[in-house]
Amino acid sequence: MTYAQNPFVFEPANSLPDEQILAYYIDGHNYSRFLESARNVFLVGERGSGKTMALRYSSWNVQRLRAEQQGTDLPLRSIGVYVPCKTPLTHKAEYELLDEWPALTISEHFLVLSVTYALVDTLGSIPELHQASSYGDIHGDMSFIFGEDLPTRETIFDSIKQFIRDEIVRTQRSLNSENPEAFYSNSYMFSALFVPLIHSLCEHFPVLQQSHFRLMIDDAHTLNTFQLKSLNSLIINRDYSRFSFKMAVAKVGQTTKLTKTGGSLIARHDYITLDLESTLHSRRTRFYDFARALVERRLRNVSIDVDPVEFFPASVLSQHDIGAVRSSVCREALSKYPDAGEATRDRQGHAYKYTHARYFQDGAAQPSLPPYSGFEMLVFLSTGVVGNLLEACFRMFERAAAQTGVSFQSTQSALTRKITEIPSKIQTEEILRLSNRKWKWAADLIARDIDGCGSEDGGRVYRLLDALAVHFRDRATQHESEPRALSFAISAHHSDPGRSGGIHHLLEILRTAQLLYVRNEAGQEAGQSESYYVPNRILWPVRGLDLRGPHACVLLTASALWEAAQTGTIPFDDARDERQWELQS
Amino acid sequence: MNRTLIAFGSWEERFPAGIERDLRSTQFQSLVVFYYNGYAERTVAARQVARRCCEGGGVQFFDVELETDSFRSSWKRIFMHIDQRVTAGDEVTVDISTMPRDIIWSVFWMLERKGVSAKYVYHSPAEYGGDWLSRAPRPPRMIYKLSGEVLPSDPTALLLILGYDIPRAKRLIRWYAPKRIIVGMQVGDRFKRNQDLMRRQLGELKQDHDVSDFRLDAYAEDRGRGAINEAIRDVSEHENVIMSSLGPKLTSVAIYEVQREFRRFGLAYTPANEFSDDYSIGIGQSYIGEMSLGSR
Repeated sequence: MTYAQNPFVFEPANSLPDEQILAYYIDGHNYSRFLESARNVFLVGERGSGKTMALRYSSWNVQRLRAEQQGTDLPLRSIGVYVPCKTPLTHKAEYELLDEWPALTISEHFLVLSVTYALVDTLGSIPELHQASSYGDIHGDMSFIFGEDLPTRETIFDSIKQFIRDEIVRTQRSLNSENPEAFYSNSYMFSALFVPLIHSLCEHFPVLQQSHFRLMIDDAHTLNTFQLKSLNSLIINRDYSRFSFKMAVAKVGQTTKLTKTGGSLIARHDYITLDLESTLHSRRTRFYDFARALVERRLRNVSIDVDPVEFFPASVLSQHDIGAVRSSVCREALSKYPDAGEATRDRQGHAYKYTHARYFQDGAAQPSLPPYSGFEMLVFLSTGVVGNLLEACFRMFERAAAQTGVSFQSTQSALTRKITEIPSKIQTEEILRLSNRKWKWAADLIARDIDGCGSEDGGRVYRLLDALAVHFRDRATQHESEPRALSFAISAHHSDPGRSGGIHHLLEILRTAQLLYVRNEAGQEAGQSESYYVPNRILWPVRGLDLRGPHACVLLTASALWEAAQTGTIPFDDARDERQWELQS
Repeated sequence: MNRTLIAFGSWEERFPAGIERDLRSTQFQSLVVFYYNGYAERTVAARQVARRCCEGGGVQFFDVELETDSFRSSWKRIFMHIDQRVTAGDEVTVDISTMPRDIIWSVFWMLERKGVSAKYVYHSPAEYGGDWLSRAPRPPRMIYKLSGEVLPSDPTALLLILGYDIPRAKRLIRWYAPKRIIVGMQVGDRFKRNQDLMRRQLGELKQDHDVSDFRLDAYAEDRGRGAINEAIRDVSEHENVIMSSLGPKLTSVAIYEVQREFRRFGLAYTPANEFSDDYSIGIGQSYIGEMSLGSR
């Protein structure tokens, strides 16, 4: 018997089997065409933003499975090679004991062997390649490229894999030897091993002659600087004929764009960047469509054939209240813009901007928190990060399943027959629980869990978040022109470098903890891109803040934020003099 | 033949008290005290006590500063010192009582490299201190020269001796993303509510990971090595193995010995950013032994 499953399970994508990747992934939304292209691409996003999922979906194993399921041809013209970097080999650090050149050489050696292994492992799983070439010829050519006689195995791919495994072990034995600056002289480089090997394999196997290899480098931020420089040196060549790189990197911290020779990658020229975190979340955005398709797919995987909007209904009470507020705001707009014609857009804009603000302003006077429910609310709550969306859905489904009395030890159909929606009451309760839990973690545990965060910093980041919550709440109830603010940008970086440095350290901690995201938006002056910060919206429900619709971004000085981190209050002067602008939702 | 004592500077009472004990028990010619610059002020008084003990007994005293924030620099500093001052045939005792484990393992390796079969001494505290001992873990790191032989294509098994600081254990687990975890726990209730704590921690880990567990006794003559050897019997040759000790300090000896026996196993450590001023109280029993090494 197969036990019932929570459809919103959000395990790390690298621990999921290929079948589940295929079942979960939403094609056509996650920038697939860029991943399928021959360009070099950097996928940027925090944990849970879908980087690994996107790379694994594009890899050969999953694409082969997809082709088999759909009865289409195997995608041999474009082969995705998945290369995980988060392995113990990447974490080895003996290179640090060496001077720069040998350190670079050894670092590249390990990387080129890892990438070549992944390539050969992928090719070895293509049945068409097993009978297509004379083993003797290719064995000789490959031995020539490696500069060593490769061991004899059943296929050339097995021979190469065995050689690489042995070579990696030999290298480590040498580096771990008694000599403190031990080196391994028989080191390989991309240009001398990987490039000729890939060309030679394509010549030997007719089915590969038109193939392009997309090298999916996952968690590239875990590579050391030398290894990144080696990869950048290949990327800068922009020879897309045989292979290209798709590099998944975390947003926190900067991965170097320098090459081995001191050159530098140029964005849009040498590579394109795809930010997997979405800034826009309202109903007419790509992220909303993606989230809806994702949740619909997850539900369908467990035979729940319900539209996500119906599965996560909004509270009838809040819909009714909002309707009443909307009528009132529309009347207000009518008197403010009395002329017909051009004023229609102004009226609509006024109603859109103030309906939710007034609803929450009115609600602020009441003792209980407003209901947080509805699929659209969940999408806003995610702050544009898929993992956040799935976590909320997962918790709600668990709770709903518990209430049905049908356990996960029963069959899927027994469970899914009982769950046709997540009642809005459960949604609200689980959102508030998650929100509470996030604050508790920020208060008690962040210093224990986040690198570079001592207990003093832990106190500071909590006070900073608390001050922002109070500030946003005050605005929501009192501010006339832009009552709804959930983001901030920083001004006056240079007036006090000490405080500015301090606040940026705290913001890095919050980003690492995924309590804060950084976004870019075209600045008010042409050609400029401005960064602003969006706290994880799961923080706000327990503080009674509104998550839906357009929000303002307030401009706060670095000094004010630093002060807030010390005292838990954003100084009055800074709050009064702040500037703000409206963000699209 | 020189007799050298190597220790690590600390503000804990057992550091100077332990040095006094060591110097009383053996006629050392020199004492080397490594200490971290980040804790120089907190340890200065205790290091001065150690210096005075040496001056009174005609023992050469070396105070060697290491960089808290650079394992590379610290490792090189220790290496240079040992390389220059220790020769094969010397008798070296390492007082591991207050020494961080990454330093313990590095010192053992450097002595082994010089052909010195090291002794070790551990002075337990009379009692551990307040609500917390250490916190704010730093990123884990593999130990130079003891990082084993791993393959990027193989899954990882993490052998972890649990201590009181569960976030450090979790940090290691997140960092190395092991497919399975083998957890070793100290038997008995020597300090605090050891059994309760261990059970609770194990429960937490089992919620999210594939965990098998075993019991060991760090205070037994083999420092728990026999139990560790038993626990790793089912490790496949197609698994990367990373070992770390966050539990009783004496298990770091057993873990080192196991690494030297199975050189493909790597050693990793998660330092902490903050240590309690009240880490321990007084000095308790002393445990003395000699490294038992053999490679496979």
